Amino acid sequence: MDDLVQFVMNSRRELAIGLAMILFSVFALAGFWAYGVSKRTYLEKHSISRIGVPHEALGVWQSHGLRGRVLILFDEKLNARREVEGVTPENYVYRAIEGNIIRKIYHILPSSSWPRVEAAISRKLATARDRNGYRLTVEGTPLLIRHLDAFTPPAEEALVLINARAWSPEELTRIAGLIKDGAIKADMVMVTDEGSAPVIAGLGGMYAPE
Amino acid sequence: MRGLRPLLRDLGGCMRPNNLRLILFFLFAAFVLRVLGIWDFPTYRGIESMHVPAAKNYVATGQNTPDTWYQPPMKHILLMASINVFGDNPLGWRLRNVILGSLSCGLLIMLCLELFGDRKIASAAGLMYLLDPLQISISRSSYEDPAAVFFFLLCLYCVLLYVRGKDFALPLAGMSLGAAFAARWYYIPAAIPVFLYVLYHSFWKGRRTPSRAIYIIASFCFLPALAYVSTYYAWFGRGYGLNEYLPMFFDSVRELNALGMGEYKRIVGESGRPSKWFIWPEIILFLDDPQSAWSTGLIFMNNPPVWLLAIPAAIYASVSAWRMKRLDLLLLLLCGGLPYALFLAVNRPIFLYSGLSVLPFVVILIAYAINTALEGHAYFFRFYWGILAVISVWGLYVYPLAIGASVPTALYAPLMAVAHYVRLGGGM
Repeated sequence: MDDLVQFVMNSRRELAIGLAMILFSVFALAGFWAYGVSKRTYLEKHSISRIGVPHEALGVWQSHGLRGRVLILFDEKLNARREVEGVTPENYVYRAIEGNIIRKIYHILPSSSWPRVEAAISRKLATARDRNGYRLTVEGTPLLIRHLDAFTPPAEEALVLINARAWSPEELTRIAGLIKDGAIKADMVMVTDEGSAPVIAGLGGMYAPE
Repeated sequence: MRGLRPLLRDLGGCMRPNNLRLILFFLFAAFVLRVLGIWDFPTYRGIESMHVPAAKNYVATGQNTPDTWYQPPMKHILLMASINVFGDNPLGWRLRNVILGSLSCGLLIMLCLELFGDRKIASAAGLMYLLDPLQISISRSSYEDPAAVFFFLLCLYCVLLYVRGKDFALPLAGMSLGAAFAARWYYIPAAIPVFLYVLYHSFWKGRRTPSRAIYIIASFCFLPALAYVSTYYAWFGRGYGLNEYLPMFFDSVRELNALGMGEYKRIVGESGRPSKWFIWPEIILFLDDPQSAWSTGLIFMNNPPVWLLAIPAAIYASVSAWRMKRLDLLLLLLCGGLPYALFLAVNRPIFLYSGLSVLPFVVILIAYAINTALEGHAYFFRFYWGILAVISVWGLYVYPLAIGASVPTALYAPLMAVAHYVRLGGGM
């Protein structure tokens, strides 16, 4: 009888310790999730701004202290060259990654650029093909390359940067429509000055100008 | 000492006073052999120029540059801990691996004593490991392999304690396993036989209860996962959520598998392929001036007198395990064999220093084979001490090159004749 009692007590203790370890692990992992999400900074007031050239966006992001964000980049080039020194039109996206402003990039390509880019990235061994486009990384930062027709926007509020010179007016109107309809959720939209009229018109006062 | 006895009993049968003296001797000897002269190189040496800034960057920002981003981050955390304790100087950069490499030697002895209860096997394995030139040179570098080896050996030792009835050891085994994965992924395939070994001893030999099952799942599934993911705390600090963790992991695997040899050939030269490690001498000798009477050298080799015995020892141990139905021997074979099989199978560069992950099992199996094959022989002790003498003389002969000391060139001419030669400064 004593052995049976001992056995039951040991089993209960073992169960309690096992369940405690499982609960602790689950809560700890949830804690990491909450910690990561807490490190993202968003704008309290949504804004749209015009910039002369795309690489001016880096300064704007830095001035707002943005951190841990998803970037939706509408441009024919990624401009994330690591080997270029300083801050230049060719590496401003890499500097944004380096500064932890950006943690994930959706690079949306105009139709005219798609064949050239697809040919280049499909040759890279570290590229994964998914149903919407391609996935690779820039120093571990996920880079999802999409065609505008096959772009499923993220559910999270993102930073949007549009190089209007790379797009036709019809495509720009379509992009503005995606933002206005809420398909693309963005707290900051930046568009290059030249050719920005369809975007500004399409957003119709949705954002406060900077 | 009286107060320590119950604690030492809990830490295993290997903790009897005589065994404790043996463990402490090897720990001390390992530390001395690995620490000597690490302060003689006041600037970054070899790949430290990448690892040290990367460690600082990871802890500060969650990014791994200038190191590769796809390697797990335990190495950065441990290196920064070492730098924070010992300073941002050669001691801080190198003591992490000196300590972990030395502790691995002690753990190896403890593992042997727990498995075989035979100090001769433990001493032989310990001596081979103590004087292994690759283990010595990597224990003085900033590579992450000593950390992986240490944590995996700790996991195995805790599993053995659990099997001997110390239930508290299983959660420690789980956390150590997670830490080993967070240092190197090499031991992931070896986790399967370890887990099966735990299951076998828990259910076929012990209690088959739901509470025991939950205890094992918690210790060996949840805790390793938590330990592994916890090392990515700085990566989470970049704003990532747990839902982005698995995609990042798969990105890492894809990038690692996309590596080509071309990017690394100039770094380590002809370091040999894993298929040759245990069948052919692989010796790379870095020398600054082989024409002069004295030359500073660094050797990078698979220690042929020991490593070339690995396959015969493994065959012997396999037959032994089958005949005597020894699951613990089978466990050792699989813990060394499965990572090695991974090296053979993956389609990416694998360098000689990765062999460190199988070295503990190689030396244990060789020591076991030598002792049991010769047991009962009339001249057993002559053979045993003779083998130890050969290991010691050879180990001490190559030791100066393992630590990058200045050596008389004439004395090492035979080694230079068979080695791949690289001018010092181009690699390690």
